[in-house]
Amino acid sequence: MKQLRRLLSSPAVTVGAFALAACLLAFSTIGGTRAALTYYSENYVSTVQMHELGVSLVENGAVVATGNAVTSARAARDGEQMSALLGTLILEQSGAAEPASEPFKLGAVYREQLAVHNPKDNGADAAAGAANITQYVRVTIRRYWVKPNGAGGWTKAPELDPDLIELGLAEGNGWVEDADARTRERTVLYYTRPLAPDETTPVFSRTLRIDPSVSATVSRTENGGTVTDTYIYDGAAFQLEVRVDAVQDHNAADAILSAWGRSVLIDADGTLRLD
Amino acid sequence: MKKRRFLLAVLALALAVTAALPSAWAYFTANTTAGGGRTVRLGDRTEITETFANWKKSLVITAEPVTQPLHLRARAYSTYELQYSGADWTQGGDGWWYYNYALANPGDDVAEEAQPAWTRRQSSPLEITIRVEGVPQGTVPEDFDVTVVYETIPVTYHADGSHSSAAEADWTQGQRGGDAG
Repeated sequence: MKQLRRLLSSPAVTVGAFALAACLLAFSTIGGTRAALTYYSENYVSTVQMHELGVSLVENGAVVATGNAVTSARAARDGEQMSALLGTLILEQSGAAEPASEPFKLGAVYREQLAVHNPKDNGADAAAGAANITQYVRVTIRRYWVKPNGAGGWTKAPELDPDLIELGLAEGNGWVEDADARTRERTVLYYTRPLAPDETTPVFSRTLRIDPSVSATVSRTENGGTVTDTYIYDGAAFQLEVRVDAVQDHNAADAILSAWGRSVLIDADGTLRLD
Repeated sequence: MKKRRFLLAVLALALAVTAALPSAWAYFTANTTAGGGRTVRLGDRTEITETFANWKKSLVITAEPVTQPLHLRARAYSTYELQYSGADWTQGGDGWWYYNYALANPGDDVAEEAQPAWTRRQSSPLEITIRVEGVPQGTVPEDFDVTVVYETIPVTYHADGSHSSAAEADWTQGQRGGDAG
């Protein structure tokens, strides 16, 4: 014991402990530095849903996705992929559906009328039971680009410009944007009226167009008489992702704050206003 | 004493659980997500073939697989007087001659007949006749030089889905072609 005390009080141990502390301090900052270099991080969402409430996303008049407790449990269990948007492309002006063999046309305006429906039959899902609760809804729209990752999958490409994915939002029909939640990739819209069972909101988007300037960024190589142009956006795929959230209308302000983390005001006539 | 401590522990646990319950179970919520997208196809490889005979240059541009639809224009530079001609070529009034069809080649696995009717895999020839005065038959002047330049630019579409013409294309985006001497 005496030897241990002598050892601990020696200058060498003091200097060594100081050096160790300095090293630990230095390494502890490396994590923070690395984190700052990360461009984006994945979102992890955990929710609890009830059978009595369901919500559907409607694209060009057809329901493309319905969420309730049963579908959520099934998706979690089976690892189901999200429902598909843009299955059929319809030219806005003519109303003609584009054949699947046709390439996507840069600059053309496609119809993309999106709305939210409160499904009384819960998406005809008998297991989910009837949905009979008036609700408030919001949508979170994400626009981004992905590129092939070489392993048969796709990787998000944050260096490509989401502003070139032009989703024509409908204005002045009951939807209001949460400007505080806006990023270049994300748009969050709240429907200001309570949505009764079997009711559908007005559309919150009307059209989709890809800015033809995606073809402007190019590098050129010449080999003899052959000229090869390589485009930054060649092979990239634009992605449109829409998440719909619904919450009960009863005690709505508290429910929305609890479920969505957003402070809102509910007027006497049921109108929702962002706080 | 032990029993009292046990009861206190149970009480504390019950308090903790009931305190957490309102935030977890008080509100009905639902959500759903849908997503999708399309791949943008760009990229092209073009090759120029030029023949010269009888003071006439003949220019043909070919789209290699896999080339997305392109507009095409060409012109020549020389100190000599030049005369252009060619089926499916239109004079633009700016010194350039514009090919009336778009060049495209979706790949060898797609028949040319299956391509859109407004595209071709190879341009028709653009003939450039060089008028040379006072030069003996069969000789070429030492300073003879006619440089042919061509440019391509990806086809874009109008809002209604129809394709743009070569004259409508924004050629200010920069040269996308090559030249042949």
